[in-house]
Amino acid sequence: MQVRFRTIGDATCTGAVLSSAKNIDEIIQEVSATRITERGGRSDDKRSEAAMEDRKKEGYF
Amino acid sequence: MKNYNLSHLEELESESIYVIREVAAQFERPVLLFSGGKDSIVCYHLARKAFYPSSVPFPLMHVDTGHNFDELYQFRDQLMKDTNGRLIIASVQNSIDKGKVVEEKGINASRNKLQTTTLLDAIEENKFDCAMGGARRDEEKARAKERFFSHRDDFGQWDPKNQRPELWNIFNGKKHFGEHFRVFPISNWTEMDVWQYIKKENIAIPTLYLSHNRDCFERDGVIMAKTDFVQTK
Repeated sequence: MQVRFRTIGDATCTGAVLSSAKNIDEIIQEVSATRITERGGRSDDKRSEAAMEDRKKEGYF
Repeated sequence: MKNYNLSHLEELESESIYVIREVAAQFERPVLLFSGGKDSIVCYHLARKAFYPSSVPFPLMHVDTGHNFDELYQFRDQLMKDTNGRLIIASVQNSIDKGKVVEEKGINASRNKLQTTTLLDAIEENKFDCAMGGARRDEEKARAKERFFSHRDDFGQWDPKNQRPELWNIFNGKKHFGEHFRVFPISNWTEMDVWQYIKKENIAIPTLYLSHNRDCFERDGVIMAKTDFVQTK
């Protein structure tokens, strides 16, 4: 698949997006037109509605 | 008289550099958390600018799950070599080996959550009193309500309802022994600002951010890369 990562984390929780953006200009264009949020592909945030807040309270970054 | 106008990127840059310098002034042992992602790359770039021509007066720390992409490790090591950065690696594998955390099981297993223990242990071991990171308010709702200077108690825990007021550019880094701060210099940036800044400053980024061909599969609407660390059904 022709993909790129919008956010990079551990390979087990980072989703890729279908994209043909080959350079920074094309990324900027893509980001300005997209309807999906940056972390929309992060399965670590999808575990629950407050997944990030719960992790942060424990001391996560 | 000549007008002194900053563009929006210059304004954000100046705010972030002010925060980074404030950290260097207020804390004894700060550290910059570095994941190798675009936000931490920008933070590191800002830190280098903030103290130029001196070197960055604090080390970087990568909380490494061991499950990152190869490109990322290569990029990280090359960047440290090119810029003479001091990198500390806090390994999640070590925490697992020591029995401090237990690896998750099942197809959705991830070491993401285990990073917390490794991070807190490394902060304590190195006696860091401030950990800077590249979290941004536009990323996620829990991050949206974060302060620039976010206080953590003895146990490294965050109490969102007990934080300091931040009026104008006055930051309060007072804390008790054993407590620490998390500081987010690029809080006010958006994803778009980061990309525009990367372009403006011509900052190198891992090739993972650019379109490439990769062996992937889809799970719950998320496109995941096929790697040795992810179990498929």
